Amino acid sequence: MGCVHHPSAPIVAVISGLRYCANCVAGIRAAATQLDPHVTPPACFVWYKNSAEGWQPIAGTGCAHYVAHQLNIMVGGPPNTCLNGFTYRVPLILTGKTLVTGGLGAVQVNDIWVQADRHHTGLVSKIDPPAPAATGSASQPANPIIWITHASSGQHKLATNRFDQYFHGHGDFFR
Amino acid sequence: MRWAVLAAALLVCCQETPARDATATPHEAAETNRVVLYIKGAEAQFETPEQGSELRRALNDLSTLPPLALCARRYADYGLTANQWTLVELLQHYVVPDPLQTIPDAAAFCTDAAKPAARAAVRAFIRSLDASEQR
Repeated sequence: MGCVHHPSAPIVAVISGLRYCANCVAGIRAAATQLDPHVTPPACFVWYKNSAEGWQPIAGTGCAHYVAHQLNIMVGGPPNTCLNGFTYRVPLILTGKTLVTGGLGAVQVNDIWVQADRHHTGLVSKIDPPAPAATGSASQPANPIIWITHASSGQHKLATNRFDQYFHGHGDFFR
Repeated sequence: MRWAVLAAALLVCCQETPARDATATPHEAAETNRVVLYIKGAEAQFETPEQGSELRRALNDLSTLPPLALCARRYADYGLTANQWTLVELLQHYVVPDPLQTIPDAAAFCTDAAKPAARAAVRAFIRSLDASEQR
């Protein structure tokens, strides 16, 4: 058994059960270096196009790819998944998930946050109690402080931002 | 009579070979058009409204500009620094095609963009962005 793309070449690496030669490993690394620093993890956000073009970065921002890795979402299968088998399309990471109802008080760590227009996504990474100055009522308690960790192309890094501030309290949560 | 046959044969032989799209049906033209293949059924991914505006600017150019002008355009990058990305670079950063593909020949891509099938596909993609913003 040779490399999955170059059958006559010797194997130097096995990734997600598939065997790759030295040329492929070099191509994977070269493609990953083209990615913006926010793409997390970067090493697997690549795909093999063909013998002429070799390994290429996957298109898009990689926001869904980060969430998929954290929640072990492998919906879609190749070619809708990264080199390690994780989904990189926003609609696909919501497959089988349910919209969280009950207001922000019902949101939990590891819920998926998605922008209302479905063009960006992240993960609820922390929930703090309402700020002391926040006023609520018995029927409508003050909202907790929700932190979203996301592959942020705008900030060039994996960032953790407040839902009510950075995202202006917009978007939906899925579990 | 012999001259007439010769003239007719010459006429047939010397006619310019029609361009691919001139002979292709609209369906065939759409199936081979690089822009249609990249845009149709694709997913837009962007984080900020400003990034979305830059994508829209590029899509509007894609559906209106002639090939040379289109390929010469430059767009802001993720951090909104102006004039950093070509059209192809911008699309690869914000638009996830289905199935996944690359744009290895930017000039051919810009040429295909001027075809009616491409412009229709880009306009449909813009309409899908409009619809997503109504949510």
